[in-house]
Amino acid sequence: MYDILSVYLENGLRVVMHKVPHVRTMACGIWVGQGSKHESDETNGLSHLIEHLMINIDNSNNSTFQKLINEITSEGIVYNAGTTKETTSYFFTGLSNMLEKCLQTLASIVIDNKGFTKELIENEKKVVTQETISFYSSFNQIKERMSQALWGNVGIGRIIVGSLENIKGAKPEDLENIIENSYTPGNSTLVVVGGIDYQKTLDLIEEYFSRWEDTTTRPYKEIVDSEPGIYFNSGGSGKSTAVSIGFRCPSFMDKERLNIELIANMLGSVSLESRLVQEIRMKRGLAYNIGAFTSFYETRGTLGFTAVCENNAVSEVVKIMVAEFGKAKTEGFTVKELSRAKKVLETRTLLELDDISAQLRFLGRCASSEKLFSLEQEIRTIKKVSNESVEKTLQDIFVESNLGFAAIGNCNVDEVISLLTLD
Amino acid sequence: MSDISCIYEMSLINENDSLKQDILNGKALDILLILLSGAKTVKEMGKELNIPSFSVQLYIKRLLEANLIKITDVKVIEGKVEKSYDLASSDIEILNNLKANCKGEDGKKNLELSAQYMASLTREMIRNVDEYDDKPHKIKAYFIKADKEKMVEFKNELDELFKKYQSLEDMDATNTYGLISIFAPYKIK
Repeated sequence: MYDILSVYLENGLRVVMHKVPHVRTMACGIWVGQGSKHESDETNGLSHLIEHLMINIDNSNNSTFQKLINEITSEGIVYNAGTTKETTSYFFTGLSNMLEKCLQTLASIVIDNKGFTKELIENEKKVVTQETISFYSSFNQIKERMSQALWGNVGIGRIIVGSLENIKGAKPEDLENIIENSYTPGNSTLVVVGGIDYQKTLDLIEEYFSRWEDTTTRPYKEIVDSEPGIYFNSGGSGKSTAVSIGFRCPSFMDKERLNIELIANMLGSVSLESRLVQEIRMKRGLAYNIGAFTSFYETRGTLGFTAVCENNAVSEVVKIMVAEFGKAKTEGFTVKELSRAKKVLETRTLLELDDISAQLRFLGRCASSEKLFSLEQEIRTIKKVSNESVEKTLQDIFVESNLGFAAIGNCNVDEVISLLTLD
Repeated sequence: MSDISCIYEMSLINENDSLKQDILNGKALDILLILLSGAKTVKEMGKELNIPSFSVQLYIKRLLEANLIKITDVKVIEGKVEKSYDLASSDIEILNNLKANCKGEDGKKNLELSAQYMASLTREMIRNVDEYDDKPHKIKAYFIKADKEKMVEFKNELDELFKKYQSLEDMDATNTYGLISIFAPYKIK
């Protein structure tokens, strides 16, 4: 038996708690509805910069936070933060007896950080700039570029690390404006997982978070490009090109999500058994790096396949990828393939169940999508996936009107796009 | 994955000059010709040309960069951004006469089909010269360096000549002739 408790404080803060019996550890975190999709051309990248500043231990404007973070880390608490396209989150993992201090610290992060010293901002801008340059200097950006191609440079198509110019040029008032309008209780979800007592935890949450003033959150209306498109950058004079073929998909909470995860696994997982790895790497030796990825959001999702190959092999690799999509669409997958992929997904989920921090992130992810869904439920749903339901998903997703293409490197893009035919 | 030189541009298409294809390569000319009948969205163009949206977008980007087309309208419909594109200059008037004479749905369709195959029509006309060499024809291309004002004057004369040619149409005649006029700046490398 498992249970998830969801309550709202009077100021609108949503609280989600999941008790895991017989454990002495806990994880707690807060998810604020502020990510790159809420940014504009002028502010793209600032949510991520704010995340860095909020959790910066040198923030002399917030001595309470400095004192608390020092205390909890001295007790072995592990802290981290993350920015996605939809949220910014801050979370702590450690022993259950540190829960109160961790909640107090989380409260101080989101309630007391209204602004930062110029010195702190300038220094953190340099750090974030380095992180951003590193991201844009790697083929790893192909996934984000695929998202940009599928959705446009708006909404969930916006790149999380954003624009270097915006980061370098960010003014204190730009950051304060975002914090004031998005770091509100009504736009946030607090999640606590682990060896906890529901009532005691709720009392602590009320004690530390009730003082968070219920102010208005900035309005947001999601927009994306009407049609999926193409990203192509011929930058660099290297010998390799990174290519990605992606498809528009339904959202995180859609019933087809697990089918899509399984399709990604069977076609493009890095394991040597997946179809693309077999055809491109094992049989023809055309690429070393081949993979598949999924990204699911509140209202939409992305399924992408990637490969890095020599410039002159791009057309052949794309031809094989397209042929494999077509084959999957017309013939489906074997019972053995699906059974194996389900086992892989189930094992991955069970491993997450044993990881309190992973449980927290999953619950935080669900809760910020206004839905509650546990890893235990996830395993039940995986078991129910059938070849028929996967085949239906393939018919829905693998169509040209859903398809986008991204490439970084020197390839004949005109020739490549002429190969992308599915219907 | 391997390291590459830093790519921080947000634009969706960024091509090195050395990799840039001829501006009218692929479906670019077809897109130009389709736009002769008015502004269109990527979806509409894709449907007419029977090619996917991502393909249309590559050529749209190139044509925009070359200032041959422009964005005329941006609408947000049910959370989706829809842009309309049109020819950048009203001086691109190929087959306008045909357009004027085409009425109704079939006429419109015929016009668009004709427009799409303008390039192949040109090739066909050149081939016909040899087959029908007893009939009047003229194929000329000449590149000159000239003063802008004189070229404006010449363009007006060309317009007049085109009008004269159009006025010669006789619906009872048995032979069909074509006149394709392209007068534009040319950069000799």
